[in-house]
Amino acid sequence: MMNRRNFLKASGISIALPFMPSLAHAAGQKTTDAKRRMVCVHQCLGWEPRAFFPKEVGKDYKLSKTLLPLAENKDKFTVYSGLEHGVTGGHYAEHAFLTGVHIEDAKKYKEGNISVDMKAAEHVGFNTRFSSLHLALPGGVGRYDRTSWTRAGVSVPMQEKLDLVFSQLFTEETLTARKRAKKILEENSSVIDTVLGQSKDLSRKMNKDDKVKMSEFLSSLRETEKKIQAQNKWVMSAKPKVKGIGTVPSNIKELFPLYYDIIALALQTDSTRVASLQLPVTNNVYSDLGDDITEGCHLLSHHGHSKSRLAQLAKIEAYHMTLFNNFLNKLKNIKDGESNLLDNTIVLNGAGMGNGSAHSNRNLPVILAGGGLEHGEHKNMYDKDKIATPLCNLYLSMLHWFGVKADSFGTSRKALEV
Amino acid sequence: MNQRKSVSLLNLLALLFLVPAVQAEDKYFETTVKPFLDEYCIRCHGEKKQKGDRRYDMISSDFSDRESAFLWQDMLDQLHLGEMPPKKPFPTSEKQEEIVAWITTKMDKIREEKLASKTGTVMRRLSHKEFSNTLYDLFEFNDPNFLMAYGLPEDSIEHGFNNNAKELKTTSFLYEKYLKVADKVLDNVVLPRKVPKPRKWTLTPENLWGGRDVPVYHKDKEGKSYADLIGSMKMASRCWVEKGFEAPIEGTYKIRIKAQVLNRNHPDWKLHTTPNPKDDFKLGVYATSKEYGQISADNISDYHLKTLVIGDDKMDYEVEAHLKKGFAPYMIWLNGVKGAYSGKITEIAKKRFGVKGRNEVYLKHGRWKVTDMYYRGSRIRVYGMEIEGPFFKEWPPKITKKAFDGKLPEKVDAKYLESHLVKFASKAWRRPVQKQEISKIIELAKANLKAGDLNALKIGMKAILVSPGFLYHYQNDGMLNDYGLASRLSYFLWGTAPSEDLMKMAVNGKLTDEKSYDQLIKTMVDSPKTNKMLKDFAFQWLNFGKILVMQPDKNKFKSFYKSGASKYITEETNQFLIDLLRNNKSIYNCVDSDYVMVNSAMAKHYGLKGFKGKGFKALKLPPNSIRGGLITQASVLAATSNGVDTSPVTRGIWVMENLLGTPPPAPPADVEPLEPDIRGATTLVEQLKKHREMESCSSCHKKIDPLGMPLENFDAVGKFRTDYGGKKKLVVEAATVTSNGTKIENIIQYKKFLMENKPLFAKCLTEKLLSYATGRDMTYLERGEIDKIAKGLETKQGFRDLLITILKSNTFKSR
Repeated sequence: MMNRRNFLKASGISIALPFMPSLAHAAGQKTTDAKRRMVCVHQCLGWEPRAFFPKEVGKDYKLSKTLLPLAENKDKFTVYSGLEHGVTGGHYAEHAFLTGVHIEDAKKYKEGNISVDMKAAEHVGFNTRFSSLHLALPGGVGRYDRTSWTRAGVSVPMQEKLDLVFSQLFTEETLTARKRAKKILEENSSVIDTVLGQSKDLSRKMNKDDKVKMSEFLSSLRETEKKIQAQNKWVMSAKPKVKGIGTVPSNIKELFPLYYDIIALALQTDSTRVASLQLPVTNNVYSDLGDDITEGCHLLSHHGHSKSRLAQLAKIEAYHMTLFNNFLNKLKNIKDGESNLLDNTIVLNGAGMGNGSAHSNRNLPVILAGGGLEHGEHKNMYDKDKIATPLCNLYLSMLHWFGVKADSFGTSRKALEV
Repeated sequence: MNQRKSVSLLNLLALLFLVPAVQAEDKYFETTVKPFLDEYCIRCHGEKKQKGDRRYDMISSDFSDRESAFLWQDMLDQLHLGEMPPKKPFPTSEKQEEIVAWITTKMDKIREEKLASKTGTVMRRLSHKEFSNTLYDLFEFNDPNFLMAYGLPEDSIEHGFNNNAKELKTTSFLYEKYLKVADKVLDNVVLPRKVPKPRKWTLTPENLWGGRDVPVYHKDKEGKSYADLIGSMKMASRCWVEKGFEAPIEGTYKIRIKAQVLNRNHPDWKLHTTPNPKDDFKLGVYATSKEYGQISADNISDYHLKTLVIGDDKMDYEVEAHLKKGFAPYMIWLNGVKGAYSGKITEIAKKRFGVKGRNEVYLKHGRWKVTDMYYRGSRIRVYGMEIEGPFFKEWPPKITKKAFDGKLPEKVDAKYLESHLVKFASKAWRRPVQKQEISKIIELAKANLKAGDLNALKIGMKAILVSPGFLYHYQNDGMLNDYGLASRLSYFLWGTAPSEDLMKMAVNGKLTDEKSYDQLIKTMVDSPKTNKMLKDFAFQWLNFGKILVMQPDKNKFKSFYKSGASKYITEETNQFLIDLLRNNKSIYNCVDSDYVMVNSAMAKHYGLKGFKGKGFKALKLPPNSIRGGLITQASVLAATSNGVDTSPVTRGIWVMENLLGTPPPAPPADVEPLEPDIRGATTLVEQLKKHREMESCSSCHKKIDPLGMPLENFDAVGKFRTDYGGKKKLVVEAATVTSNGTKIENIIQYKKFLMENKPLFAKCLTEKLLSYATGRDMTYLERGEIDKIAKGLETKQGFRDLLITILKSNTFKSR
């Protein structure tokens, strides 16, 4: 029997799988793949490009200023330049970071503008209590759930209330409450059936334009029905027991790490295998990081080359990068199967904005970490004519790693070697 | 404006009669129109270049083609504006008028044809605001926070109004919430027939704090636990019900708290900001629910029950409290120690106990423990809590009585189900509902009768609340019928479902009766309830959301915050519009006015003298004032800034989009945006000039930039300035030349220039109001009527008149 590594090679998908003991079993022996996870961190405001991209290319590159906090994990991640989506619109194109497809073009693609995390979540299905987890640091302004997208072109609500997230994941309801929840799920199922039937009758008499809206309504009902099935499967089973988080702090130095902690916990307990974290467009002043931070984050991203603003921005970015580094460490220190959680989790960190100050959506900052892949490199993805590579090529590889059999994703041309 | 190319209406009308007969149309297009296009348009809008994203070499003379119709309408607008062609050779005015007349006739004809068969507003979901209002009105719930509709994902719209039918999507995330909301609502309405019996809960400190460090929690020698409240900080110092109680049903509960003050006279009160021993020690008792976020800190569901004054003797304090379902009480020592969990305590630790540094105690014991270890002063000690309830003044409660005509029948049977559900659906769906329409829902309810009759009723009602009939606007095809009009009027003007009175009028056919309709709309417009609509309309039309995204910088604009002006900027605009409506003042005051609507803070902010009194009032401006009109209001000037700096480009686009109704196309995809440099290396004027020199940028920025330049005299909070401040004190250069050659020296001349273009504003405002009222973008199809309304505004200029005209328009009254 062909093992997975060879299978992928034979099928022409060039993806380097990590060497794992389970894959080394002799032919004929039953092998169980480790559970694979995916985490995507979306820095909506982008990383300041001059500080982010390293000067040298290849293995011997020197860490850039922004990447310095990741020094101890240098061999655990790859930094890319020359990846982009080819969409424009500044803030109005950020939302394409994980999709590669601008919402307005979604109709042209067979899977719409589904995001890489949601595609992975579909693959997981009901196998975990939550097919995916979507968090956002607080303080986002306006409509800022713009990280994860379903194939129907709907943005997935990002949760920022940690205590609510925590209780969904880990707080055990009483038996009575669970029974009641189950009853309501079943009731809802029959209500949806009824409304579906009735609305379909209605739809027959409708004109073309209304039919489009009606089918949007009907498909959200069907989608809800699927979710109810998934919830029904899990509602009576016990939740994993973990230590509580206590009162949610307000100081961001204490608060922000908790978001990464909860993601790690959720992965570790196999409550979910896909998680996304949105660092939103916020104009909050992060004075908790020091009295020298006097201006809002969004404003600082539009630094206009002002020295004082760039200094503040650098401090905030360094803080975010430190959190990210701690997260990698955390995953690394959690044993998972015969390996550790970082080796079984592919972690993406990046932005849909290449240069926030100019509202440019080119040359997107991208870090890929973990997954037991060979890292430690700055890869320049521009070709000799300075033409960038579709970032979706990388997403396709991530999906392959995750176990999704797909020929393409978004605007991908072919999978990248990772 | 440049007079050379604009076409007088008289000429136009004269020419309409000269247009060749229909049969010859195509020939006319080939022989006359096409050559015109070839000569004057194709050089910039053809195969090679597509400036402004327009291409005219392939345009069809068949106006029924949507794409072509759009292009022709655009061309017509440009010719009217005199904007095109921008360079020589120019067509003769006779030639141009001939073409304009041809396009106009064709346009009118196609409009007439298409209007007859158009859909109008597509199936339109209630926006979240509309949904909450409708639900609350349906059951007559009263709660300003709309907690039952809590947690609905926001309506996500990037451009335009957030009630746009096409953009308002329904998703599974939303639908799941709808189901939850329906459950919650019905749990509060469909109640058991018998009065629930009261019971008693005894809560020890273990129930109250779960043994956490805050508040300081201890056991005495006998093993009895107590908790000390020390701080006054809402988050860390409150004492909440961790487990063991939440109100099983809405009702009155008696809460007894055993507590006392200890160490009242401890001398340490002078060291902290602690209440004077002589003060009342106040214990605030509140209610909160876990469902809306953590209860250890503020969440949206909190409400005040009572404030107790705690004495030195241990005793029970009773609070009679109205608790909603799922709620539990919590307590805070309102005038407790300030800084009980921060610097103050470490200082004491240092002084009194010789602790070395902040870190020594913090790191070792954790932040909260420090207070426990080193604080010795006064405190409120709580020993436990007893809750008894629920008690009721009447049963069933008012809401239930209302929902079931006073009383639920002894037994809900199939017959009752049928009649009640039809009645409920008719009310919830804002139109008469026939039995067969909801036959499936009735069947579902009947099938559940065995498992409990009230449950069956609930399921039926739930299905009605999550059906399209409830979740979407009612609108019939073609001209709206009575119910269609009732809904459209009510949601537009008052943001909610038609009232009972309005529905009665609809039943009696009063809305389709022109006379009573005209009377009705006046009454509705004049109701104070319309103010809310104006506020919401202004917020979206004028992009006030941007102010929240990029708030004015707190350091740069200290006085703006200190003076209180920051609180009133959008309110100024709201008051300005409300005044326009209530006093039927001319809409052109939006372009320029000889007065402002200000309160004392805003008058001071603008440096205007002579304001006396309280609240917002009209203040007459001196002649040739820089103020007046919307564009000199701080709200608009802040909404078009990034919180610190201003940009003539942003402001120019804002004027084009929101006042003139001529939005520029999006920048071409292959152009990288300019990266601003605020170090002052180059002046703004130089930067913009460079921008305009780039071929792909110039065609649009030639129009945009001059419309923003004169506003450079206003900073990001709307204060007048002549230089940019800082060390360099670069002088503001506000003078500019518009794309058609008009010279503008300053803001006063700029407002005059805009006034000369006031027909554009009339059209723009009409269009925006109609979009907002109907829930869809206006297209070339409605242009005929919009132009007519705008034309009427040349003479009858009042804002109230305009609103009434709009409510009478076919666009509003048809789907």
